Amino acid sequence: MKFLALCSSDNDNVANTFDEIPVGQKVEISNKKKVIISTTKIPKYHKIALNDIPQGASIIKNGICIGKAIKDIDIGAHIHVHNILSNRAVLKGES
Amino acid sequence: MDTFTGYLRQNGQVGIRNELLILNLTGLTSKVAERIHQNLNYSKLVSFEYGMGLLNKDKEISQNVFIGLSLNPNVGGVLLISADQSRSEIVIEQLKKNKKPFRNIFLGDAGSDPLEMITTAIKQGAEILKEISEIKKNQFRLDKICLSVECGLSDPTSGLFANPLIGKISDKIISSGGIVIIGETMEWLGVESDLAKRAVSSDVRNQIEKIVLRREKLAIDNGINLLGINPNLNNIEGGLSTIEEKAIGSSIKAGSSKIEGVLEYGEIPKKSGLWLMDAPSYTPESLTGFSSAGSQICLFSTGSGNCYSSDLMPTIRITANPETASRLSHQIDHDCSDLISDGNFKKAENKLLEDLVSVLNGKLCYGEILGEGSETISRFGEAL
Repeated sequence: MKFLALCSSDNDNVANTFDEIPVGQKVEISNKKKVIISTTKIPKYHKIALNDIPQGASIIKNGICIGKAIKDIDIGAHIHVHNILSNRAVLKGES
Repeated sequence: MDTFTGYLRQNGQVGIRNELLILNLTGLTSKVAERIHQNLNYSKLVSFEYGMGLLNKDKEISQNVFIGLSLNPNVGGVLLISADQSRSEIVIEQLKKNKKPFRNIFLGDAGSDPLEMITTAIKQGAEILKEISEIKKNQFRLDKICLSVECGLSDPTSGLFANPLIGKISDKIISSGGIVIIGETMEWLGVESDLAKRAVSSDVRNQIEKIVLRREKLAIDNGINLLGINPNLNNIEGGLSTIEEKAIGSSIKAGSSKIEGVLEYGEIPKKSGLWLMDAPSYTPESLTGFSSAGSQICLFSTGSGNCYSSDLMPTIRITANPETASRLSHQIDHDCSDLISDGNFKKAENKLLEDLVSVLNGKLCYGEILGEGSETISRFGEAL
């Protein structure tokens, strides 16, 4: 089965999947002519990392920063609330 | 597809429905109003459960919303119910000015006897219904439309497909000379500078940034961690990770037009174009803000499904999520999930516009058919 993920803007480092993707599958990234291998399971419509993203780096979707990595994220990994955090409405004591 | 048939009001506005609004202005009369509503087919009930003792913003905004809902073009006539005559005076003034048929009854008129009040009010409501049912429909252009756009229980299919599609319809309504309103201030967090760049003036630009930062500060000052609230648990399960990610998808419903200005909750826009309403994100409150602003129709996207609907504005529920569309076939009015497989926005835009015009012409939304509509007026603080 061929897996697809949608990337909306050139400098995005994430793309949205359209199927649940098991580990080790080829994922074709639309608009980027790029194929990456999933390194974790990724639920349907969730995000996959298009590069290795170091802790602290911005997550870019649709050309806009949607938060930052709170740990190092491997290319092909599931990106979600376990490894990224919003930059907005941050409470004292959180980072 | 650029015309529709609607009901011309005396003030020049055009309704797409022709409702009798029973507007209850005081909590003391809410049961009375409910009983009147039960006895009048074709009536819509909006009830405000509070009364004396409202302060400042609550006092001002509740009055503005009473006026706004009464003047909504879908409302053909109004039956005002209250326990306190002074609550309705300012509404009556506007109804007279706009030549909208109305009756006003307060508990004192009936000697404080609710049973007598109910009987009298049913008769008065019946008279208005008889009168407005004679209004004939005529053809109008889309410049008479005030469209509101909303999303609720979103997932990534909303932001990637359904909301950009709604954005194209927003652009179409504005290029036709109509009005579009988007609300949910919290859901501009992270995209406020992009929205601000589209403001018609530096005043409006500053105002957009100010209202977003104010609401962000409100969350921080109250110690609210947005994760789990906005995005909520349902959004997170669907795949949305942060408020910024949600905001990108949410704000795109407004299309790409210039932003004319910022509206207070429920405020009626002064001219055509795209308007931002500074308002809470919770759908029931948000939609009533739009009804009060005079919107006749709402495009409402959902990811995992949402059964809410405005009572005064037909609310077209749209999803791009194919599982939701098939699972909730009697909730979703418009399935645009083809976009996921073919990416053909032009085709999807024509299909949605066609469906929108059908609803303007009288085709019913599931919210209307199943009686899922309601209106909820926001509260802002304590009362005396």
